[in-house]
Amino acid sequence: MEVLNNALAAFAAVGEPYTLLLMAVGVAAGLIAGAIPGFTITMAVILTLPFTFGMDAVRGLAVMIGVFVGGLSGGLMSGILTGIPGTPSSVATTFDGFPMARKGRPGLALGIGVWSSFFGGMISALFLMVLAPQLAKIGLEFGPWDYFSLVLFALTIVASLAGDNLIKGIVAGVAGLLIASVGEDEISGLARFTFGIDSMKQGFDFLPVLVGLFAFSQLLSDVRDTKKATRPMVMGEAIRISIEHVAAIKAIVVRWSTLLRSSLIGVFVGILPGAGGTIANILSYDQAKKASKNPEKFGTGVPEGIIAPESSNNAVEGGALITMMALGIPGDIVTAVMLGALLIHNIAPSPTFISTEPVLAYSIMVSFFIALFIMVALQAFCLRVFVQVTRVPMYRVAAVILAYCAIGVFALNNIVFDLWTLLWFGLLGYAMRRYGFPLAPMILGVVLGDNAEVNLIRALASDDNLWLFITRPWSLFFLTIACFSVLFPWYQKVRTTQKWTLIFTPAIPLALSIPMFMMGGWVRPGVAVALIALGALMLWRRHQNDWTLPTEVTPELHES
Amino acid sequence: MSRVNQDIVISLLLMVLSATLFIETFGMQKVHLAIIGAKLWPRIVVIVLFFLSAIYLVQSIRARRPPPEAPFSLMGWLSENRNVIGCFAIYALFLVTLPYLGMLLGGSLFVFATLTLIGKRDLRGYLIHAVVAVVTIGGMWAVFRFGLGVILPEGELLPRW
Repeated sequence: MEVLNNALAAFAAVGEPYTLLLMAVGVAAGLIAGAIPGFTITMAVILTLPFTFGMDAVRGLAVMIGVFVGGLSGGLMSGILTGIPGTPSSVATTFDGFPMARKGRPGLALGIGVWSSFFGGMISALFLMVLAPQLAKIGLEFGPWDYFSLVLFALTIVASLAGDNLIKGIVAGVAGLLIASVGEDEISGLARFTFGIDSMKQGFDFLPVLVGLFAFSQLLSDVRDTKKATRPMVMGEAIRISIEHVAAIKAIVVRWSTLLRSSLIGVFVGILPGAGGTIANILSYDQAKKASKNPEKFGTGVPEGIIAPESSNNAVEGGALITMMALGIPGDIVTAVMLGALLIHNIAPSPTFISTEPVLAYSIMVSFFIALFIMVALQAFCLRVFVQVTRVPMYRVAAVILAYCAIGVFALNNIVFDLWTLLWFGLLGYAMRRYGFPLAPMILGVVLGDNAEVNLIRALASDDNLWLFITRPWSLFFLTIACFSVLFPWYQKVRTTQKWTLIFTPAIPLALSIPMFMMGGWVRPGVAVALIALGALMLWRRHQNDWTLPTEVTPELHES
Repeated sequence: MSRVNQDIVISLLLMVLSATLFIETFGMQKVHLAIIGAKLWPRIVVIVLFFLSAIYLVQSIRARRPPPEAPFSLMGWLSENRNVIGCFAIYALFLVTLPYLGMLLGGSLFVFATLTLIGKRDLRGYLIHAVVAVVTIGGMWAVFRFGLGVILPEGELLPRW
């Protein structure tokens, strides 16, 4: 009953005409941003944040979710019509979307993409509503030791997704923690690393750091080459297409298993901190191909090749929101920005977030639902407008957005110091991009730095026994996964050549069974037994195959 | 400069940075009665950063050298990064002049200058750039000023609103 009341209150809050109008503007902005190659969804969400300062938390987050949902779907437009994915989350969509469009069915390809996005989002929204409160209940068991280990796990998994640049990823994450420690200490109020500069006592604000590192540096990278910057972002003939809605829905319903599998992959990838749509769309495409009776037809314009990536990349956000709302850990950079938006409104997501801020929590879920309907409506009626916008040269968009970055960042605290912070972090972000350092770990480090410090200090203040980080089950659980995530890039690199990799995946469930046993009760030791059985089964299969190394190389998982 | 050399230089710079910051932590004050000082966390972080940078250095030294590239030329590098350096310089100039020009005028000039740096420099180009600068910055300024109630820097040159 309480859930229903909260959901109704959330519907009332999000359903206000002005909020819906703002959400529609947000979805439209996201669709345009997503359609522009080189202009990522993350950047669109970051740039939306300054507009939300003056709004209440519900409205602000609803707009940001609108931008995100629009952005995910916008990426498919340019991918299907031109073969150039608008966002990394739509890379796999082009594999079959573009061939289908070239075969004379662009309306069907777009329709399948739009409706797969819709259904994938809906499935993940259902998971969000069911799973987030349950996960939050588990989160209530966490002490400061467990939280600290959870933050470490989040940082290591993000760094591990940097692929070959694991060490650079970890360096970036730790540098992010360092940036977060500049300024007055949260606990004692003492200044740190201010070098006698008064303005630095307040530390670096999250927004100028984020905008500088991500948006500013991206825009400058986009205009580096004058030739590329001065030609239209998307070339080609003007189009006149109408989406084939009925045929698209029929095509998806017939292939419901692909939709469900891909959506589940999306939710799962979204729950993992740091992993996002870029991984989900490739992974689900790969799985759809493996599960197909006609895998050789993939790449020629088959509906499954559009359904899988588009449903999974939209399902990612529901998964990422689950982790953010239940544990206060952002699942990706977009949810890190949303977490920043909540902090601006003095709301800190934690396991108690759903119980202390039920209307806001359910508003996030409801906004996600509503944004999907708005996205379908806008795609149906305004497709041509969105495509036309992508014909503007990049340098014009970049110059205007650079100025907008300055205005938006200034609006946060009304101090010029933030504008200088934007410049320095823009330089840093540009240098990091040029020299192969991933940005996501640094951003996560900046967002989670305070959280990590406060929990470490709380843990040490209550007991100076460091073994508690190992002997507390949840802490051990997160540290165990952190270790595996650090080893993952190495495993991925040598899995076809070195024998030890054969025991890597079975070792994960076997190792995780230890903390599950330590948790006590009946259910969790039962899960531990299941994990041991799973690990044993995997080992048995390898034994049956005579411990032969795989020859097939599956796509490497890198988040961009 | 080859990528291997770049990595060695970056890792050394990171090590110097973390060592400097570690020394800086000794200058941090201590609160009486506090069980754990404000310097503990920064120290842990810079120590970890130092060791990671050392690993990065070892990796960079061990890495195989790539095939020789064209010799480094400053002029080549400057011409390659002309737009980026120009944009940063214009942005820095915009910040320095912000107290005098304000956000509306300064922002419009920033957009115009950036567009002109990268785009076409003929009469038509100048006109388009001027219109884009005035319309977009004017529009954004109005949204923030009147829609969101944010007071943006007004500058000394223009009359106060």
